[in-house]
Amino acid sequence: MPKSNVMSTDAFRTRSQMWDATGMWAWVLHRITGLGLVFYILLHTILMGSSLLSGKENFDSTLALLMSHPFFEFLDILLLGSVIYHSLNGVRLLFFDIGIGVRVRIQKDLFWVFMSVGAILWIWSILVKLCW
Amino acid sequence: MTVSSEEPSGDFEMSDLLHVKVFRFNPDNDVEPRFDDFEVALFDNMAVLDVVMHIQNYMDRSLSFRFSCRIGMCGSCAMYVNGRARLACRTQVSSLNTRYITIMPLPNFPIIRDLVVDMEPFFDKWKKIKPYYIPKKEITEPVVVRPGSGEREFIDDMLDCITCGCCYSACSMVATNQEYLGPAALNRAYTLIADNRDAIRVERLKVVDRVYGVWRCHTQFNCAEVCPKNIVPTRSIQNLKRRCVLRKFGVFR
Amino acid sequence: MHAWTWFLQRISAVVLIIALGLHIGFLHFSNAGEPLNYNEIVARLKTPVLMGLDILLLTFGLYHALYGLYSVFLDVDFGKWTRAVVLGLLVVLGLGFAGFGIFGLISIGYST
Repeated sequence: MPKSNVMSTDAFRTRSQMWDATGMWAWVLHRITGLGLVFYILLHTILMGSSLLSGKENFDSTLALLMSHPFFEFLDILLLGSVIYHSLNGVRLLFFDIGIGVRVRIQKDLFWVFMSVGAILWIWSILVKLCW
Repeated sequence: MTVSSEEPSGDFEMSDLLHVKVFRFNPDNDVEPRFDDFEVALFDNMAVLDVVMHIQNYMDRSLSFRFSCRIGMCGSCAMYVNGRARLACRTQVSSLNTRYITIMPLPNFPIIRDLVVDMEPFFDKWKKIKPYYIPKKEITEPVVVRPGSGEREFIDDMLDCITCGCCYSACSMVATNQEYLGPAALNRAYTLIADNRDAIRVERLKVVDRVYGVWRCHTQFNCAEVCPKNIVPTRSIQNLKRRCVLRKFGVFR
Repeated sequence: MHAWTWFLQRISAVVLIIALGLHIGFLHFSNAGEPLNYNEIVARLKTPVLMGLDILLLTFGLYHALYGLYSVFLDVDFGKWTRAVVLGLLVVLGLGFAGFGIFGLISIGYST
């Protein structure tokens, strides 16, 4: 960046803060779930890969633990929520990429429609999980 | 040309006094900024620009801010008022729905003094995309654009930009990335790239097709929310992304 | 480069929505309630379609994830060389994990 021609200071400049903007929060959550999912996919690949490769007994016992312990059940629910949120908001972004809904008002409506669908899906899967 | 004005809300109580906090900072004298409090008498159809002018005229002559046309055309008076970048002349006090007003300089800009920010970084990026039409050599002016063709429809809306800097202030990507071109520059780039008459469209597309060009936009729509001219830079940027991809496939539309 | 990588990100998004949906469907809803079983997984992987699905999921998933990480990184203006180093690391990470994953899947699928 070339130096400015006027005397100005970067000190005390604020960053944009639009706390009431739906689109921005949608992005923040998309990013948070995204980072969580990246961590998950790396973990999952290592865990599944090494468990499978270490043989039947090891794998079955590891999986039995993972799929029964309440802490992991809880993480599983969070994972599901993240996947649902990230996919649905992702579909909203894909809509924007093909030119649908790229308007201030419509993008918010789209967000809430997708979130409603997502909430239903999430609650349904939690119930299914709990009823097993 | 659409001009945005915030309508006064019906149930706002017309009380006498506004409690105004204004950001003050003079790099020559002050070590750090402060907020000065003023009580300003409210009058009908008062705009935020009226507030700061009143303060400057009758209460503190040293308050610095920019303004010019006072009718939403020049883009000089953009400020951060009650949590949003707005044009002071086009923001009715009644639309803020409160008697407590906080006025700060635009975010994402270096500060010169009080409410005056340094627009250099903004205009540097503006210049990078060559924001002027260059006619193709082989066409003769004036170029005829058939009225029914619809070619100018989208472009004309996006041409209303008054370079006020509100969108640039609102953008999170500008906040975290000093090199990002920003919504205003990208929007202007689009109006020229989409223009069939322009000679350097591909060159401009290459400028925006860089790592800190269009690809840093994540469609948050902050820019569109604050634009006083109701421009939606997000739309322009999305169209630019499509054009960048299509160019790679050999289709330049 | 960025136009291609961004476009591929979108393609991988579409692939993932379908593949992940199928993956979760097969794995978690086919035998409700019981923990995953080694033998079932081996049996599943022996079918070329399901093996293909898992490999697709792995490769496109890793691409989408690591491009996403790169995107987060690029949203702060680091210099040219820092960007190159990070890109290199992510490519190595991606290839490494994909390699390990595919190796694992194929070993299990072709085990006796």
